[in-house]
Amino acid sequence: MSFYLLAFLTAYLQSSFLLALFGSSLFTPNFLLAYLFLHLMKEQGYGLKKTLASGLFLDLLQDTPGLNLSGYLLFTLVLNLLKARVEFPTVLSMSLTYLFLTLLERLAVFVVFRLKYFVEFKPVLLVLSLSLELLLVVFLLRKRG
Amino acid sequence: MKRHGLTFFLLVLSLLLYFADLSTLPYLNRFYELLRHLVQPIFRVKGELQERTERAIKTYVYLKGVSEENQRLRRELERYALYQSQLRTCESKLMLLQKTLDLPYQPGEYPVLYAQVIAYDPSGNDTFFLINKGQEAGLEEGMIVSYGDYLVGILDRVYVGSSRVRTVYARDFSVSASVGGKAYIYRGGYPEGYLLHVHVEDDLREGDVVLLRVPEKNLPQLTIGAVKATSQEGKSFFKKVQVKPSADVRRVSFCVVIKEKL
Repeated sequence: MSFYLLAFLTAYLQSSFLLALFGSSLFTPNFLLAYLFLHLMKEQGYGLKKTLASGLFLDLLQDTPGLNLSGYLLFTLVLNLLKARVEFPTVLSMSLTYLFLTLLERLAVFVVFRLKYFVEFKPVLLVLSLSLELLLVVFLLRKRG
Repeated sequence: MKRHGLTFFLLVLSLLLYFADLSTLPYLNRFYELLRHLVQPIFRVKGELQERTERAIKTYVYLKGVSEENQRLRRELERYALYQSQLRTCESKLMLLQKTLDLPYQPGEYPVLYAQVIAYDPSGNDTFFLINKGQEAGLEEGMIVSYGDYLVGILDRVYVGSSRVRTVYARDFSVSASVGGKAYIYRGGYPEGYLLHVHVEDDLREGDVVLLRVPEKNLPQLTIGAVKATSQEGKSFFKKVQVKPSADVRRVSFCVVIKEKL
């Protein structure tokens, strides 16, 4: 239960404060995705419920039904495929995996969004938000040990 | 494998939900509206937080701009202070030279007055504007009005609490000017003024600076404008010289009145 509560609060922070700071939901640091990643890496199950809840929270708060949800589902799908075949013993390997997956998720969400609406690509904001996400992931992974 | 398949199915469904706006369909819309209704108070707080953050960012950006502008102006002021001290050195040297050579030089101490522009020429030709200082402030007709180091015009009517400035763009404005040390008459005009009685052999070129010339008085050599074009008409002794005035009257919001008559 604590996961869902914290996920909702993260989604709330992300879609209010961070969204106002970064201007577009496409370039806002996706801390909820980082949080979901840490949970999925820790537990043995597939984590589909948590993915659905996280995506739905974000879609509900950002009023983009289906957009974030599809990105989160893709993220979970690829992560579970990787988990079944590769082991992630170190913080570095997990961080790199997260970087790859978040890039994939962002690219997918960006492409899906661009198919419907026009939006300017801002590489500086993207790099900044990815760096922030990665910092959080590394920090929490190290803390966990 | 089943779970992967289910995830993929949900992924396709969510994409469909996004592209086809399925959330607007009657049943899904009700469900979505119910969800939104449940989180309505949170939405309100979220909107407020978002608005406040945006406002804080805008204020920060604005204040940052103001602070940067302030720093730039301070640096400029420092440069002017240094320039002033250099001018003081020049003046003392000039005074020394004056004593040695017995030159008739008097250092210029011009009483000045800062005035705000309160009205512009409605014709669009920038021929005059009104300032908020008049007889009360000791202004008289014929005083010079400048902005920066540009000549803007001359006071041609002074009322009790305001004055009219005849600008360098007015056709009935004419002053003594100099280009490269040679004296001419400048006559105003919109959008360009003219130099009158310029001999054909005078070598005036585009870009030459036209300065205000006040031979009997020790007044600053303000810039009137720059030569824009020269042309010769027939077999006349004189050539036509167009001058683009430097002062942009429409951008002048305040000006300096030098309390000295021309």
